[in-house]
Amino acid sequence: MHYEFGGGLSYQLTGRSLTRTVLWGMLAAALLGATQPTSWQAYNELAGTLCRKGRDTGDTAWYDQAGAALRKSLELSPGNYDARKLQVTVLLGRHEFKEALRAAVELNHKMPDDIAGWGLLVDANLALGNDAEAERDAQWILDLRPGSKLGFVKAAAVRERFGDTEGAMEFLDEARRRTSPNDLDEQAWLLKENARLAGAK
Amino acid sequence: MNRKSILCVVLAAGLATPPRGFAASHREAPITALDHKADITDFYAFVSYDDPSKVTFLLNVDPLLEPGNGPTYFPFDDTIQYAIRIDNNNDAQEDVYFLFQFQTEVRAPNVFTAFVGAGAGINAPANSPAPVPPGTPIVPPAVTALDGSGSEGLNLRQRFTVTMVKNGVSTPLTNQAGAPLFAVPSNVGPRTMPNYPALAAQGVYSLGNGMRVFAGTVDDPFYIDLGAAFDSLNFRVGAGGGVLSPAQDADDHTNTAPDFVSGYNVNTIAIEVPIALLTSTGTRVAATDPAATIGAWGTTARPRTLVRRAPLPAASSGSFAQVQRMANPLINELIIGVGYKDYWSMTQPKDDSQFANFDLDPLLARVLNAVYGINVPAAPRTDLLPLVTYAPPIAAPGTPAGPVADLLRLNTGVAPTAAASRRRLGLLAGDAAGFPNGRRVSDDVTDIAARAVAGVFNPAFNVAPNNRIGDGVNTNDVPYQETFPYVAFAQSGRDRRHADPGEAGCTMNSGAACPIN
Repeated sequence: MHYEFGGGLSYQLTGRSLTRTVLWGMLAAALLGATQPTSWQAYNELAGTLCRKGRDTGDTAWYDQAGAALRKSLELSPGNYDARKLQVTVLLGRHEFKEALRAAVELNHKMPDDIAGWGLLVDANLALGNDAEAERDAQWILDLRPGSKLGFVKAAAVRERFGDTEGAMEFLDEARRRTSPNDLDEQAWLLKENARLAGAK
Repeated sequence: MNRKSILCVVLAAGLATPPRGFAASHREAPITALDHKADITDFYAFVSYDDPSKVTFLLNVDPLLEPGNGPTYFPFDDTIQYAIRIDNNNDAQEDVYFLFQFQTEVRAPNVFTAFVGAGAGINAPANSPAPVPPGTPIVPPAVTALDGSGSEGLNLRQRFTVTMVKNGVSTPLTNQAGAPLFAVPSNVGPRTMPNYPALAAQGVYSLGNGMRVFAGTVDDPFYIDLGAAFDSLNFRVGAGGGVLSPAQDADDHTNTAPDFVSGYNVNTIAIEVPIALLTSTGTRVAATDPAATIGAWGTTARPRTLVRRAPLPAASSGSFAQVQRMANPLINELIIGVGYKDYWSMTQPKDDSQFANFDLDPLLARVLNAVYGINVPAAPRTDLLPLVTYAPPIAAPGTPAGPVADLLRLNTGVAPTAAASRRRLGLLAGDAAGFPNGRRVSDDVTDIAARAVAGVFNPAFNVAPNNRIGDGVNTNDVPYQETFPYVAFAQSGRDRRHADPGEAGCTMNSGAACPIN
């Protein structure tokens, strides 16, 4: 499938490489982009979907494409918060961890009630080996939004780092229970993660 | 309806934020909007009216309780840890604190309502269908006691515990009469609870060492024209449209606008403590002594999910996560930005310097300036420092200011003001025992807070219209008590009345009608 998003962005994708959620996400973003070519939200939607694809496949090329979409978003709406968050995800995907941490700290100071910002801090700190800081940040998510899916996912990563594989699997199960059954990509990713941990036991 | 709310509405109106902003009143932060039971509506601390050697603290939670809302009414949450915390050495950290936890018992699991009773009880009549024989007790006697005979109709009953922690030493406080501490249930109505004041009074317990405690459902002591405030500051013309006339402002006993909290209850935890147990000197000292001023705040906390599991070493600080804190009745609502409110709620007062920009350059003041054209002081708003540091006129000169921190500061050396001389505007009206020197149940914090943000602590800005901002609700719908726990007992579920616009009885359910416009 040749995918034209507008604004000079296009993607050549095969149908088999797309899971349903990603496909719908990209179609929705395309529709929004086609009808609202100046919509920075559309570029954010696209970037978010591409980042998710990058997470699922481990292919950094997806993050590069997401980065391009975010540049368009930021051209249309300089400094928009959602794009800046996604930029941190892109940096993490590209393994530019120090820069990711710096940007995540800045965003966290801007809006400390946003648990997604704390999640980026967890990721960056774990990647840099700052385990105590990652634990602190994951605990903030669990405290700020008790029972949130994001909190369980991030705390699972910290538990895994601490060698608590069973505890990590427990949290991933909790996260999956909080995931819509229609979100097949996310369900699959959480199951895959749990299977990976089970295999590591 | 956290008294923190009214100017939040100003903010919302001025910035044309969406209606969601208006919903952030008594549920001022996103997390508490989802957690009513842990939502602190108000926090009070004042020298006991009838005993100047003691301080009474009230922690009110669970907003806007409709008195008739059965069948289970309004129990405290067994999983929440409620706390009242006191700093006595100006570092904004707790030196003395009291923890409260509740335990619910269901005494008759098959009964469909939490509270039931009538007269001497009602038995099955002669035509009772089988298998229940005539004469079998069906409805228990009216509820006249919290325990023992007369308490049979309390199907759902709550006990609670109180723990004092002072200088790191934890002391369980128990009923000196030996019985458990029972929370006072809501006032169902005159058939079920024919002498509710007498029933509620049984919930005042002596804890020894001069301390008393009360927990239960009571009349919400707060008052405000909430509807007008939330309608983009559409205050009643009859109440001056938001700026009171001198006569309206001077009359603390007449409402010229409807009290939207009238007829509603709230859950309170009240504790009266000798001043000598609270100050750093262990004595009651004069108001001019720096040790006289304490800082207090209330918190709610829930058990937390920890990143680390036992038996791995727990790096986290405790088993509870703070859900909310409250001291002054305006900080989180009027001052703290919406992207920070939950974070603020979960942090500690000693760390409030991170919010100093909000405290000392409140956006709300700029909104008042922009919307109404009134003059307000320039930033940094040092005139607001008495609210967030230990400073005169509340604290004595020479008191260490301590860090910027939201504490309700109370100079315990200031004697209580007699009822006849008490002024709703507290310190602003020369009543030295009123907010922001602590907070009494009768203090009109809506008007005081609005005026404070408008700059009236600075003499140059203590001019009209800044010093006459008000909503027209100057008093509660029912009289307060002059003895512990000082709030009015709960309103009747059967007979409560909400004073609506256009209805007669705008003041204490009597007198002229509340204006519609």
